[in-house]
Amino acid sequence: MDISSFDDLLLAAGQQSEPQRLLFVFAASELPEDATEEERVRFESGEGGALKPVMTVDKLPAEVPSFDSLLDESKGTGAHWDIVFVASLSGRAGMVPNSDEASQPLQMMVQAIHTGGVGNFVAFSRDGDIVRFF
Amino acid sequence: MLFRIDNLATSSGPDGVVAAIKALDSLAWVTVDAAASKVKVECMAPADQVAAALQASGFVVEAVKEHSGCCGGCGG
Repeated sequence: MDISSFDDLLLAAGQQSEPQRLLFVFAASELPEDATEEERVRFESGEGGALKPVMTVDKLPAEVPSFDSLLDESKGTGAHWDIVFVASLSGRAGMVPNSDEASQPLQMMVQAIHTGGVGNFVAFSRDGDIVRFF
Repeated sequence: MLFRIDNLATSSGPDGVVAAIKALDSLAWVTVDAAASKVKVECMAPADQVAAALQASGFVVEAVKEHSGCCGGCGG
């Protein structure tokens, strides 16, 4: 199914034949040290910048009933973030993956974000809008 | 993982808790409930390492068993 909102993501997770665990990597946009003047101007106007992962968490779909609940919970960490990347880890034989099993995939997500390989993830802004990377 | 910190108010406080855990895992998800003196942590490091990091930063830490909601009837 085409995912165009966080609710779509939750719906898609619930429709899978195996139980899912959602993986979240929160990233902040920052200006690289070697940024050009043009890049600096763009960044200050709210565009561009490099994405740096700032925290990760895994949750069952039932633990994240809405984007607003995720946003509220993230505020409790005090960490600033601009974009959250989401992937889903599928269970096997009807068993949902536990948090230990989510660790390595989360690390792979972090590495992928560091290298700009974000095409396999769904991304949302703090407003809950889906973000597409080209 | 969930911890109770007995000296949260008299130590370096919630910021110190976050700093201690972030030094162990910079991508940790840390929420501090100062009123309840509880810290919820989700990170790559095992609970004993998180507790040790907090203790090394001067916190008096006790792990709190989280209730999963599982009745145990299925053996899970």
